[in-house]
Amino acid sequence: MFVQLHWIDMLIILVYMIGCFVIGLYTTKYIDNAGDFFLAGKSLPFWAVGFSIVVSDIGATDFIGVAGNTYVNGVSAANFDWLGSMPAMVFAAFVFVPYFWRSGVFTIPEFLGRRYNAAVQLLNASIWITVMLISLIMMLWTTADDLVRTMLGFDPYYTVWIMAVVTGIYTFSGGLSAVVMTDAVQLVVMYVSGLSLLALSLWEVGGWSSMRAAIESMGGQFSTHFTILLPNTHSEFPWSGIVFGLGVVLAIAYMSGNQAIVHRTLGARTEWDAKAGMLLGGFLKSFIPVMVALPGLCALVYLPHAIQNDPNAVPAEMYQMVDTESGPVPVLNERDRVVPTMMRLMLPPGLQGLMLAGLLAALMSSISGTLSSASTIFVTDIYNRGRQLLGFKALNEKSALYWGRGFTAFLIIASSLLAPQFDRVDGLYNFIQTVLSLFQGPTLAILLLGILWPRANRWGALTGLLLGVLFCFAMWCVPNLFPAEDPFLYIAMYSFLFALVVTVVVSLLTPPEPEEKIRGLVWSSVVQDPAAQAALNARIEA
Amino acid sequence: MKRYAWYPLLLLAVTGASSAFSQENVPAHYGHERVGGILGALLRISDVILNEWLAFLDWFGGLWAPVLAPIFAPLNRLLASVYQPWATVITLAYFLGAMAWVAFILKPSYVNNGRQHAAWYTDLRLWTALSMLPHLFVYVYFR
Repeated sequence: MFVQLHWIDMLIILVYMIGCFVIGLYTTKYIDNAGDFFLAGKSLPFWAVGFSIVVSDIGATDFIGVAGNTYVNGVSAANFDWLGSMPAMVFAAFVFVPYFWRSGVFTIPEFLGRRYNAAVQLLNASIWITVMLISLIMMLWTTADDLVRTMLGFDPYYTVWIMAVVTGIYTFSGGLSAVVMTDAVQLVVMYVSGLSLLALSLWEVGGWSSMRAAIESMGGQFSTHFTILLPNTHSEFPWSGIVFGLGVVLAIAYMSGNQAIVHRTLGARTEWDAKAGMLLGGFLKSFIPVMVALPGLCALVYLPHAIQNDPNAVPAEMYQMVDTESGPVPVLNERDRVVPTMMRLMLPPGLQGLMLAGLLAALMSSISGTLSSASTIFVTDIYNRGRQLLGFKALNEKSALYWGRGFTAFLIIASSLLAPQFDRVDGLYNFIQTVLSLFQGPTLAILLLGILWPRANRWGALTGLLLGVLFCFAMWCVPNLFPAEDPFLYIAMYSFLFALVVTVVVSLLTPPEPEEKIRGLVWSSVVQDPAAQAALNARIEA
Repeated sequence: MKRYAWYPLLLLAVTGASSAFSQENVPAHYGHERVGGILGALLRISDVILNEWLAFLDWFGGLWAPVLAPIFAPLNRLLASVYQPWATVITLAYFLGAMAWVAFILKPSYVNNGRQHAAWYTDLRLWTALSMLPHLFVYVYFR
């Protein structure tokens, strides 16, 4: 039932793994201090920033999760990489990134700390560390259990540790430079393998038109598979949630406030490279749904034929027969097993190895990116900031580098130990989005007000963030509050509005921040004040 | 310093290898009860924590339901009544608005601040518009 890998497949995977390992370790020689480790010495060109943003953002969870969502809900699942990417990345490139880059910060919480105060910085950093830990666990377990076990039958526990050790070693050694350099290789592997799967899938189902006709003829639950914005009565992706919750709040919050995304732009060599990298990332991300979502649609047509030709092609317990207008059709019980099943049944030797390498590339790049960003946040915003608040001296460059590496190792060990707990979670993409939605709205509210509204102050931001997260949590805990089964889109939308109002009201009721403190950190002072602009440029040149 | 910096890595490798190879005949679907030693104890503790957490979530949801349900029920009805084709119109306007904002409203000097070679192909206003055009096609095609 499982794939017996051909020696060519094994060779491809081995060459890929060793290649990443060697490239990652090679960058170690450029690491002398914390600036090199955390921000690659501010030397990244725009193409490296763009490539790295895409592959760090797109993990194996997307390959598996988005294809699974498309299998169940149709092309509307692609909204997360279309409506949920490009406009938000444009907004991030021209509103947030210039301010983060010019202020010379290592992290987003550090920016919030300068704009507001240490409490906001610590709270935001703690939230991100928690979310990154959960994301790491999900990435590891998904690939190990849903992908490798389904395809190869390997025990997921062994797989988790092998991936953790390989990725952990080069991130531990080379920091952001290693992450970005390996990301460039991983992007090529990922795109070649993804496009191969797409081409073969379309070939097997007789092309786009044939596939579309076959799915539309099934009627019923499949009749909206080619409608990208679904009615508001839809149980998973109603259009109002997608447009307002995803497009306006979640996507912008993710692209502007997520350290794992913005981290690369902070390491760019110029402000133009940072912005261009963000735009390139958005453009490259546009192809992701084509690679990862369309195979999910093809599976609806391909798997019934495969099962008809060979009843043992898919174990009987993995699917159920669903009545459609064109007759009973086998539909997989677990959406996250669609891609691995397609790969197992469809790909010839050589391509199986390439595809597996592509999925490992997606996973490893996301793990290394998350590890690098989490260690930067931990050292900059929690450990170092905490030391200063307690009256100790700030960490020197060498100590910061040591702590960054130590936390990288700790995080990957903790993630690997906790990974089996996530065996209970089905629909992992929605789960991660739900976790993110719990604080993305409030974070975006204080970030946006911090840059655009000089009157926003520390008390407003702290109250907005705290009450906003609490409000999110309350909405999440109440069952059936919104029409969607996974209400993360609505939670993000309403929590953003709630935190916005709270921050504005509390800021107006409390004293404003001193003008000299916020100079160069808000839009108006940078765009309209030449003195602030000159001070920022001097800081960058220094 | 470099010598000591490798210690956590060594710990990672040893812990990973020993944890993975300490199991015997692990079933295809992982089961915590089959794991012994320190790792097994940690997993069982995390099981207890998870169960208590889930119970807390139920209690917390019950506490807030009477307050939040009356607020969101009318908002849900309002959104459900919006005419469906407005979704495509709003989305297309969102894309076009973002393009127009960068191309016509932001100052060119701000958009391209920091570029080393001033040429038409390094103008980010152009690349913003070109990057967004395919999305307009997608949202019209799948409407």
